[in-house]
Amino acid sequence: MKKLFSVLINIYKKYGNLFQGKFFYVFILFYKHQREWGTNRAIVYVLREILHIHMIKGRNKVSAIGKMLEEARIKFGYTDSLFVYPVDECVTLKLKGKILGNCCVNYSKIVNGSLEALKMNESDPFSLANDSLIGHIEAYTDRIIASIRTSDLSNKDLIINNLSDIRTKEADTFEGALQRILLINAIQWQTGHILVGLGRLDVVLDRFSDDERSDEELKPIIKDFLRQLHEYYCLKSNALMGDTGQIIILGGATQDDGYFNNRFTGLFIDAIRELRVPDPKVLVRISSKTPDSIWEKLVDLIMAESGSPLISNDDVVIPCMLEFGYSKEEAYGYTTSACWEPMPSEGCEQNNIVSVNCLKPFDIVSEKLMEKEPDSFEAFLDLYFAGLEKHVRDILEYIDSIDWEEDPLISMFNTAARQKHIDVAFGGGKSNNYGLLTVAMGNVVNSLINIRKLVYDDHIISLQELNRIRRGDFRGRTDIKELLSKMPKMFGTDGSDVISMVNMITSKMQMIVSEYRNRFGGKIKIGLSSPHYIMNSTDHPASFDGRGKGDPFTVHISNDHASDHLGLINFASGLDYGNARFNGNVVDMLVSPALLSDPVQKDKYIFLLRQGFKRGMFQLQLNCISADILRKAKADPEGFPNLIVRVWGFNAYFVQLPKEYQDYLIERAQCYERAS
Amino acid sequence: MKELLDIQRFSLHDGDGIRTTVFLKGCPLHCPWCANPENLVNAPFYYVDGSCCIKGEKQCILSGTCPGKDLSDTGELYKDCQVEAVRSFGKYYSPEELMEIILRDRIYYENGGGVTFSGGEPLLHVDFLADVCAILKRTDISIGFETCLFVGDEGMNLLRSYADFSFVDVKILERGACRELLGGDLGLFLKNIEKIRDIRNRVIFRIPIVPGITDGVENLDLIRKLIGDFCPLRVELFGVHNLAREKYRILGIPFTEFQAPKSSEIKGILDYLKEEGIDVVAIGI
Repeated sequence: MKKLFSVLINIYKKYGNLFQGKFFYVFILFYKHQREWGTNRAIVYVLREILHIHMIKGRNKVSAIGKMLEEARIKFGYTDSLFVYPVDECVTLKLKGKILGNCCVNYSKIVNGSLEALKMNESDPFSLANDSLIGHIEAYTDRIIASIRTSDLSNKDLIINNLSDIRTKEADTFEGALQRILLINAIQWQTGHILVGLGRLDVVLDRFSDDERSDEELKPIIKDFLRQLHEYYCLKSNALMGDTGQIIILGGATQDDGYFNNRFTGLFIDAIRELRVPDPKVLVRISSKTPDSIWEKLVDLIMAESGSPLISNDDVVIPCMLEFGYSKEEAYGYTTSACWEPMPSEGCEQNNIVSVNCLKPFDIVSEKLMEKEPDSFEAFLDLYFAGLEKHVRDILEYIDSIDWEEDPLISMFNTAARQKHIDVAFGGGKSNNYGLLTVAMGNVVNSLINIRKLVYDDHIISLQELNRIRRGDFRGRTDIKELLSKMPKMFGTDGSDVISMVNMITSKMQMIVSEYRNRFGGKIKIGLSSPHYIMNSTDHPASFDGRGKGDPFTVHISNDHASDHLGLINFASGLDYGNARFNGNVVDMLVSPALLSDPVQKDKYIFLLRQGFKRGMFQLQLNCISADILRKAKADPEGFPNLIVRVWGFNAYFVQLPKEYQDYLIERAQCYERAS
Repeated sequence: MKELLDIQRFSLHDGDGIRTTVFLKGCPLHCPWCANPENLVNAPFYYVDGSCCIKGEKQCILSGTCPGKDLSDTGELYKDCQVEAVRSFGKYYSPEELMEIILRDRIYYENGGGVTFSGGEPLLHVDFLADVCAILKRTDISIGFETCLFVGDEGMNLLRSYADFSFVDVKILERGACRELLGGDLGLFLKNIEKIRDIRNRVIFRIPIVPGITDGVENLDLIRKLIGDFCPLRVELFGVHNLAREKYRILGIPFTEFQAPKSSEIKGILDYLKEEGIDVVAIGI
């Protein structure tokens, strides 16, 4: 059943736009809710809502959105909130193309502007669509206000004022600013967007830094805002619960060699820590100029077992972006696509379309390999690279075949699209690059090292024989599987040999894509992290590192078989992220709660992280959890409903994860504890 | 010149900052509660890590002769096992090879961290350490020692020349018990204590609390007198633990289990020492 779901998800991710219709959407809603509620309750929910569930189409995209905003039911989750955040999950848009995902609009345009100011008042199709959409949003806002008047909300007047102002004025209060973000964000979700990022909220809200109220007075307001964003957690979650893309980006290097942070930087971190919900989550941009106070808060957040933050190193990311061709403003203002892929702040670049499966070349060249045994390791590497080229070119061909769904909402907030009068889906953005992710790099590197040692150095076995056994998933040769899996795992350690090998593979990949330009002139970036390390592995054949068919791939930049923190950090620091290799490169580590509970050791750990980033580590995510707690939670889910862990690039309730993810986390936590 | 070493990177308990701890082999004492029994003898000890070994009940596909166990006499033959199932306590390193590993982590030493030499007794390896310490000094990397001080003049000269700080074990100060239980000449210890009196602001005393052995009234009284007289930079107490049980099993050495002291006992000893105005803390090792 899980395998079936996995295959269906993969098909949906690639060709979801081709499957449209009420029945399909009913199935999607059922699938999403059964993850949280179980099958029976999800069926009851779907049956209860069946009359409301529908897909809306219109004569064009804007009219469809308008129709949707007319029909969507307006519901309020919390009566005591300072905000409203209505989303009707039963109503969705019928899509013609693949919808842009992983986008985060520049909310400062609505916080420091108004709907009126976003109108273009011109007569070309783009402007007319833009202004028409704004008209629909105004009407929708009026509907919400009318609903509030007849509701039992405690803060009606405040919310109505804040919503009314959005038409013609910039936000004049902190609450007003947050309400605007919520309104536009809710419409993004309502219109079928996925993995909706929240952008640099401390920057967006900077104008309110001098709010006379104390931090202790502002923090509950931020918590209220975050609580609203946590609504519809199940609906927002993509392939796995928690995979929502709701990332708040905080802090960041500035062009004058300083570091941006304001009171909201710390307040958001503190609020996330105290709320202890997996979503939204934070990505904190750090640099050598990040103050100690922010580092303290970061480590406190890590210790809170909230799953956040992901830490991104501006001292490495920004030079890579500049080298790639982004302007200074774009590079220093970067946000990320959903999880970790850096992109310009108003970007709608598609950086998470598909993952290069680094193991795939072994199978592409397998027949050739069986025809003639490569006479040297170098000859085998050439064969591998030929397979890699074929695989990557197939991916590029697929990417070129994608028709993107027109997106007037995202375009409305995109400066370049407004200047060019071209929708972002049709190349309106300033830059229109794509990003590729990779899975199984660790499996490949460990495989190559095994082959070099066993086949070419020690002549234990021929490559053809080894490949034959691998293709048969080691059936009848468990001794070989055991041998391969017990060979030292070098990926994630700091020997110069293994670092060179990874750089060689990524360099080769970069060379393959270097000449590529998409139909909008955009280029390709690549990165070493991908959320698909389990999903893509479910039906993938065995590999030369002893991994059996269907077993998970290695996670991002990690070392599953030792807790060698320094080795892993040095390894990541030694990788070359230049030449377009900056599409997310996350070191994934675990740290024992016991270690950080001692103030002296905690200070040393903070120093370790700071020095690791100084040395050149690109990004980092950490789980601070003990294997024992994870084991107990797995055995007694009801006893640990709020246990949060970090998976892929997002946070999730541990007990809501599929069993294979739970087991994988437990195994890694055990490895780290044994080794330390 | 090569020396038999174990190297532990990212050490957080062996001095300030992040450190690389280098364990040297051989010890003049034989403390019954020793947590590093693999370092008592200056010779490699080979064993098979069962979780890595692929031999099982059959012949190993990598080696036709490896017995897959009991390698203490034949381990040298199989030490290059491809799956690294043949492990050893200690490998031989030249000063250059050791420095290559130490310098990999140099960036992490900046916050007061560095290298700590431990053991066994590091001050028994003067020639090797003199070379390494000279390089460390030139490269401005902090040097620490963990020593029992039961060493000769050459060792003490090395300590005085290079130590940025020293952890000095203070265990049993009753002459007879010291000889009987630890195999040490207390006179030598006391003589060497005098040799570091002038650098006492770089000396930290470490006192293991072993119920029934080091926590007697008479011994604690002698320790308190020594500390009061010497005035080290700091004093650290730690309770004995049984974490080395697995190492004893691998080495084939009988393991004596010690009852870990109760926290109330540790607190009582802390209070007793503090009465003398001694800066003393309890640590976990």
